Amino acid sequence: MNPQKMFREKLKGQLGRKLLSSPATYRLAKDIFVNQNNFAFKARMMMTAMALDQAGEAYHQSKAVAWTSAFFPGELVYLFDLAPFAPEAAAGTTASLDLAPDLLKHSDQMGLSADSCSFHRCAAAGTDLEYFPLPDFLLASSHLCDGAPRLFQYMARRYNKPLYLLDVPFRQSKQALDYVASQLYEIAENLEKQTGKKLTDERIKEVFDNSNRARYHQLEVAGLRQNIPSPLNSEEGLAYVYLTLLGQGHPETPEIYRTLAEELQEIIEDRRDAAPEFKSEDYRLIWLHLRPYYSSEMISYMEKELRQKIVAEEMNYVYWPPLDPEKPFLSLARKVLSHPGLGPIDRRLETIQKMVNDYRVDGVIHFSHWGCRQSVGGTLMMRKKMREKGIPFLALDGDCIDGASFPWGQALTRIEGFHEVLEQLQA
Amino acid sequence: MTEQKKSPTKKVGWFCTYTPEELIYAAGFMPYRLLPEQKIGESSVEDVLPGNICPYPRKILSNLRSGIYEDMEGIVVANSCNAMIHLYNALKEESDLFIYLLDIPRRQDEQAINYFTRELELLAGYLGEKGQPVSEESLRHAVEIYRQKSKLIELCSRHLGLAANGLFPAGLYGLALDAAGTDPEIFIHKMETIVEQNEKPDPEAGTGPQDGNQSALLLAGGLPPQGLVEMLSEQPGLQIYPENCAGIRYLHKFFQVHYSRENPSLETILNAIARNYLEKPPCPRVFNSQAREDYYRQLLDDLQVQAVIYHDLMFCDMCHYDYLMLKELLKEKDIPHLKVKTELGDEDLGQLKTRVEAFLEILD
Repeated sequence: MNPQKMFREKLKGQLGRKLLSSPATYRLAKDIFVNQNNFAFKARMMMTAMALDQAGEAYHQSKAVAWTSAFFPGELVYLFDLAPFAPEAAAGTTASLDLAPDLLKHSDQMGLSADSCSFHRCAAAGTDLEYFPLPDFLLASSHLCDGAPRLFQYMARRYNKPLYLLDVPFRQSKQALDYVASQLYEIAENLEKQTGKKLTDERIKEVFDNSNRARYHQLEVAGLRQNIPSPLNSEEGLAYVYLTLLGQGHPETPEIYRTLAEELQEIIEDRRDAAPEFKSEDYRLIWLHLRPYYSSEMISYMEKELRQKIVAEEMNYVYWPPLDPEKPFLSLARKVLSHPGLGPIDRRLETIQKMVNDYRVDGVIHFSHWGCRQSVGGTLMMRKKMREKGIPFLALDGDCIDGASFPWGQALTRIEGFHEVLEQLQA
Repeated sequence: MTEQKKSPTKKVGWFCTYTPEELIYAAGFMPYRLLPEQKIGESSVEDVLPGNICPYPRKILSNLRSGIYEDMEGIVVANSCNAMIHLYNALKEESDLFIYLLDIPRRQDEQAINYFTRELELLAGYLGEKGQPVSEESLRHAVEIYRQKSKLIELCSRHLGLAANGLFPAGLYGLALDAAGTDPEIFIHKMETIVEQNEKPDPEAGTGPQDGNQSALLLAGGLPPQGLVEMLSEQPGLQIYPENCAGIRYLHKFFQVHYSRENPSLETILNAIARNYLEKPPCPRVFNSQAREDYYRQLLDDLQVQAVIYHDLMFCDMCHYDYLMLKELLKEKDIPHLKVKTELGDEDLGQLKTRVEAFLEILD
């Protein structure tokens, strides 16, 4: 039996919750997934090992555990040597392990509306059922999402633990910068008190250096993916979103991106054996928002049957300037405020346009995750603007977590229709 | 009594109760709250706003496309949620009106008040260019007008039992709608007349139902559809307290802006306005869940609430999570509740009526 399949089956059984919350599970998973080394890239293997270590560390509770929302600046977590846990990322994992349907059902029973984001519904149910490592603190940011701060308020109440919320305005003015920086400073002060760890200049330099080196190599990867054909396939590229969520400031992140850049360079220079999809493509695409986590069928079909390759993802885009350890809070505030998805849609459109040019793509796909007000709400406007510029744009309705609500057949029809457009344009 | 004056002809639309009406008024415009109930546009908005975002901005855009708002000069959209940002995007793209996006902090501390003060300075500058310059004098005058309005609302909504008197359709909800959509000086005149014609209220009276035969029902959650409010208002023996931003949270907005100096600078007044607005009873968006819980507790106790209908507005995250908190409180206090979901339309009213009537039987 396939060990990965067996692992999933075990988690779905009666012991599932117990297994998930045992640090030993993550050691075993590392054994099964990492040490067998079935990865196309060493970088991916390193990232998987890091993710399993992080999960194991959080469940082991040997360090204070901080739950973080998707866009909260992760550097702050590493400044205080906390074990981060991202409930939204965990929701993605539950979908890939086929645990999400039960969690979604439980969120209905809790009274949480079914039209809420399914990442959040899963995370709320996982909290209520105590699937997750117990938090010592919760950290959440208001950008870009209305639901996350409310979800985290629910979670903090459920566990009676301190919650630090970051209010992010849409402007990029000096006042907005000061407002965000002062909040980050206040959060750091609170974390100092709570953890008893004094924030030193050396620690700031170390964590910011991790973040800046990761950024440097991430840009290197981005540059290599602009190559035609792009040396990274769709599935692989989408996986690195994990580092955006939980890797910023982590000591291993720079090395993962550096390794990936090295491996991509080898493919481009034909110094490395790689499957055909790494070395060829008919259509180059940009992927907006996230992917379905319960299945790889769609992404695989697009790449293998239609020869459409995702060469850039919105979630992997480096939008922020390097961090300055001399001005840590202003610098982190600048990073937070420079997110293109913040505020009116113009910044997001400008960023997509830049990506279209830089990566020389044939089209843009927006995966319209049903419960995401921020991303989905702007889809029609984006489609209009992209069409005005002659850029093929597909708004693909779906759900990243809840596979039952959006049957594959519907998506297939849309994807094939889009493919015809790409074919005609190329002809 | 205030002299009745001619209403400013040019309106500026607004949505969120954190939008300072005084500022719009000081710039020579009539602040006019855009609510989905007022008129119903038939225009489709499916080309810019998808069906799975909040129906409130969708309905407003439909109304605007149908051209049913008269004398509208501009709109101040607050950055209150993702759906409102999308409405701003759509309006900025297609509307001939001036469209302004106002940033509203989610915190209530000094840093947030300072940030909001700066935001109000920007808004004052913008509105001043579109209408008349906002000076210390014009803003002080506007603050005074809204202070009077607030006092009269306080007097009437808390003590007169307007719902029972039938002076406003749908009781407190009707009062709030009237207050948010009428020129403030005309509204003051109207309220002064009502006060004169009615018995002097007892300032010591409690805030719960004045008639011992009435039951207090809290209509909580998101903006309700007009049909639901009307349906509840028709139910005998009920005093309805709408806990939403078009109901109690608007009526209790209290335009009681305070500044200490005799001739305050524009910045001082704006700072006082910013403080007053951010410190008002918190909405579910505010980053202070304890304040929100305390506020609910106070309402449930002061109003002697016997039952709650929670309107879980479709595609509104604020509503969805607020319900989880309120549900716990109601369980703790042993207060029955009914959760209903709508998209602000009156399409499902038949079924809703059956559910509501069955629920209300428990109060008999």
